[in-house]
Amino acid sequence: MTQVKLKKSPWRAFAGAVIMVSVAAIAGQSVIASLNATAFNTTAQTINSGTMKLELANSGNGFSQSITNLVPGDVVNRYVTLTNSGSIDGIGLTLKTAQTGTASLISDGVSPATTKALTLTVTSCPVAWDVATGACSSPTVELAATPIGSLTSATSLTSSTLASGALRYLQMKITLPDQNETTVNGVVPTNTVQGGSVGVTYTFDLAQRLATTINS
Amino acid sequence: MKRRLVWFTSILILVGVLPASASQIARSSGNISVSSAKWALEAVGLGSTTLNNQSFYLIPSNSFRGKANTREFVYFNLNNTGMSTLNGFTMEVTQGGAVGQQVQITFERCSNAWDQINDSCSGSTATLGAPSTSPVLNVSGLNLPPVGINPPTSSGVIYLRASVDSGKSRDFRILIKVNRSHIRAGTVTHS
Repeated sequence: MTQVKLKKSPWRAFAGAVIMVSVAAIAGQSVIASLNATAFNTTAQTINSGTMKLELANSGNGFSQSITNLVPGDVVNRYVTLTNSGSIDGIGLTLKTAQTGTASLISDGVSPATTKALTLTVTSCPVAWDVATGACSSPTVELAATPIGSLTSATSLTSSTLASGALRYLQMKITLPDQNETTVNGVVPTNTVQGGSVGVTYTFDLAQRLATTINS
Repeated sequence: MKRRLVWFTSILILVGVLPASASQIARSSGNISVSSAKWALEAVGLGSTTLNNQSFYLIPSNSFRGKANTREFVYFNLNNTGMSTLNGFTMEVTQGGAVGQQVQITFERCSNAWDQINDSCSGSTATLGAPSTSPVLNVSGLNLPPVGINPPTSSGVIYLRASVDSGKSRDFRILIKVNRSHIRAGTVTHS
């Protein structure tokens, strides 16, 4: 028997190395890859922000008609309705006034002047006022009589909250306090309250309710 | 200095990171005009003078010159130049001359304008008063509307004449006063 001994080719070693590297590379890639799972809501979540809206409407004449020819002791009641027509409950209801015109009708006189200025009293009623008689079964004084010149800063009303959709029926009472003045020979005294005119702007502010954190 | 700088920087950073406190406010406004009345009565047809810083209507003595034993007249009107109906007024009359020598002055009212040529009244006359030593004349019971301006109304005018006995004339000074009680009382209205 003749034995033939074959000499190993150097290319075999090289091929073996290439195969080894290829296997290692394939095996390595399979380790890096993974399975991913994703969850999401099929219907988009709706998030709405609320609205703040305060409406002022006349009830009867309200602010639509001027008040003229007041004499000391006169009281004029006008009626308006506030509505929180926004979607957010309101808090901190305030009122302030801005006025222009005759100074003696805006602020009380400073000694020696003794003039008394126009005052404003605000009263609310849980139901609509009878604007012809001013009748209300259970009124609440929201603002005691105050010279209109002292209301230039926001002043809190007694019932300071106003829920969304709620109404506040208000009586706005303007008074020229009783006082005496003598006109001599057709000439009115200095610092008089006579023949004066004032433009009054009433501004109501309502703040949003306090922000909350809800878990549900 | 370095320490201050650190503090200042820290405060700035702190303020920067603090959340801003924002809230919504709803606002609504309304306007109204308020005016007051005036009450006044002015004389028309008289002169005027000022004494001790006080103004007077003046009836000078030469207006009363006339024949002996004949009454002479001075005519004048009082106009309601205010905005409110007057229910009365006060007339304060002072006269010149020595104490104890005051003369009587008489004020008469005509329901229409006086006929100054014939010294007569086409309507009814009434004596307002004849102040002498107590020279305050309180007139009440009027219903005198504002005379107005466009057009003026005669119903807001009081037609007067003053008279003294001839030969006893003096200068007269008049104050016409209207106070709070001479106009309507306060009212309460709803609307």
